[in-house]
Amino acid sequence: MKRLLSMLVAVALLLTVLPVSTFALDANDASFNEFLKEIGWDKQDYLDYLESKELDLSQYDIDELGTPLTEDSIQILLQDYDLTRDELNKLLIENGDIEEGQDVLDIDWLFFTEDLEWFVGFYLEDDWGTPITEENLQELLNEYGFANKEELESFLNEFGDSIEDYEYIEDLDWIIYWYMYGHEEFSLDFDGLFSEIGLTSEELERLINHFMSLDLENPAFLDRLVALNDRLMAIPDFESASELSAEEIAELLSIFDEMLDLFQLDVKYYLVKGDEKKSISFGTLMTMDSTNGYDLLIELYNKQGEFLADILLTADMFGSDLIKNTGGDLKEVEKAIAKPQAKKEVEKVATAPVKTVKGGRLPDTATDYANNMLFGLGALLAGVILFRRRKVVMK
Amino acid sequence: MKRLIILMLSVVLIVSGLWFTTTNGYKFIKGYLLFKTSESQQTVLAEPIERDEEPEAETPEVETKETVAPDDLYPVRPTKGEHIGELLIPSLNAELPIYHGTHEDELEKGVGHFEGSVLPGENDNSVLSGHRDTVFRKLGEVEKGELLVVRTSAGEFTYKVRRMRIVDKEDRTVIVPKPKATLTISTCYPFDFIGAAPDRYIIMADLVSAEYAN
Repeated sequence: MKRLLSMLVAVALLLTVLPVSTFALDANDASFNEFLKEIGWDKQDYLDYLESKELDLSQYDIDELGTPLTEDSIQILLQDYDLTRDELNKLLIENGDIEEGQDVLDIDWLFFTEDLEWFVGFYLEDDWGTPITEENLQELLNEYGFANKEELESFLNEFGDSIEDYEYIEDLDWIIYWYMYGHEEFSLDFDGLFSEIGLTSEELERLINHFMSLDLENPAFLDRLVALNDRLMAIPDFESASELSAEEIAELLSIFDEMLDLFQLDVKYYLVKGDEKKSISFGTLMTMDSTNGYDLLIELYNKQGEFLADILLTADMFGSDLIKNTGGDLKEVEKAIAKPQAKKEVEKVATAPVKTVKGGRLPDTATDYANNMLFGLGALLAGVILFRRRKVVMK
Repeated sequence: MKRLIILMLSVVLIVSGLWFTTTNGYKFIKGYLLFKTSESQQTVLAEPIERDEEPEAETPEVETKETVAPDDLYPVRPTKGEHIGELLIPSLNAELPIYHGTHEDELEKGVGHFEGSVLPGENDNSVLSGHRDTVFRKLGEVEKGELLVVRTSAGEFTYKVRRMRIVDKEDRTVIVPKPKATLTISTCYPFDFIGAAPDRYIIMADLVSAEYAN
């Protein structure tokens, strides 16, 4: 009894899994015969046509069918729309109906003369946007606070996009808006350890990649580290820079520079408060008493000048180890750099468009969790190996 | 000092390695479970859905093909991150939640609706995307002529798969306006590629029937 029951369940499951093509049009169906008479096609020819396109009649409903595409029907269409064959193919490629290098007759999916006429008419209508011109582009640049076309282009490039990909100003407008304001929550979402000091996952990935690219196993690398270590040891312990002589400070700065060199890093420091952003050298930083309520922004670059990451230490994180009771004053801080970065917030209601953007960039579905996981495990392993080496060195 | 640097470095590596592994592992498992649990739920759900389809098949109504959607299918447009409905793939027994937007925030939760495209059921091309290693891991098994169902606040829309394409990830001929209500689904290709897949797998389907909510 139990076996019977489980068999029944299995059969029931099997049935529910079967494709839901219940339309099942039969070649002997009366409606099919009538349809063929209407379009003036022989039954066998029609079936052959479907077969040549690898289409299965049983999957379609009678009113999904139409007149097959033939050389003749295409000629008529070309005349009607005053197009050449090349122009027609180009139009279809641009709109993704055929692939580059294909001809309209290569279409191998359910697509008939009626559909082609409908689609071509739609594509040629061209009333779904205002073509981009110098003037309306300039208006758009003003609206979003871009200085010039190049600035907009580099902004779009950040997202793998380009002005060139858009034909209509409305589409471009919409896409800029989306990149500017649609992204906000992104990367603020995780509550990891690193977000507190302003390290995003992208930055972290870049940093890790950077460290992985260093030749840590190289004996020369280790020798340089040891040498730096010895030089550092030679400097007496100090609580603040004021206890050090000018030579010792110079030595310390030089060690720091070499360390950066060894790790292939460039570091820039800024004091930040609100919109204010002042560049400051490491030397000045060392002599500082407190940050006077400024946040310290540390930007890391590789030696090629590519930005890797930035770390923001807020004012209330200070008073501790980083900058200790030293003399010096904020007045010594180097000249502030002007940063007119304020892009005008544009008031715009985030409504979905009533039509689909033409030539939009395909969403990035490539983010691969499994691979990232492997990468993380790799980093973990590297860390463990390094840690063990350290213990060996210590012994 | 050297010890300190190496110690720091190894700690950074270990912590970030852990962080990377666990957060990605978490997202992966979440996405995978989404697909898996939907699969098991669907086995139960599949039957009633099929029954819905049948009466239509027996009395094919003329309204099916050139369905002209009412203008106000969605009186209130969804906002970013909003749960807007479900995508049902009967042949895979999958029922997947659809969120408005195609950033990582949405894609890690289910299927994302590309904001620059119309909403499901509306005339023109509605674009949905998802990760190939989680929600769309079996998308390659969907064949021409199969049905896809999208359920939203506006109703239930049945699409029939018309064609599949494989395009470069920078292709600009997929997200384009279409004269009829079309559903475009995109994910990464090849399905088992290690690393950032260079191509996109595209399924295009036509609206064949619609049941409006009001």
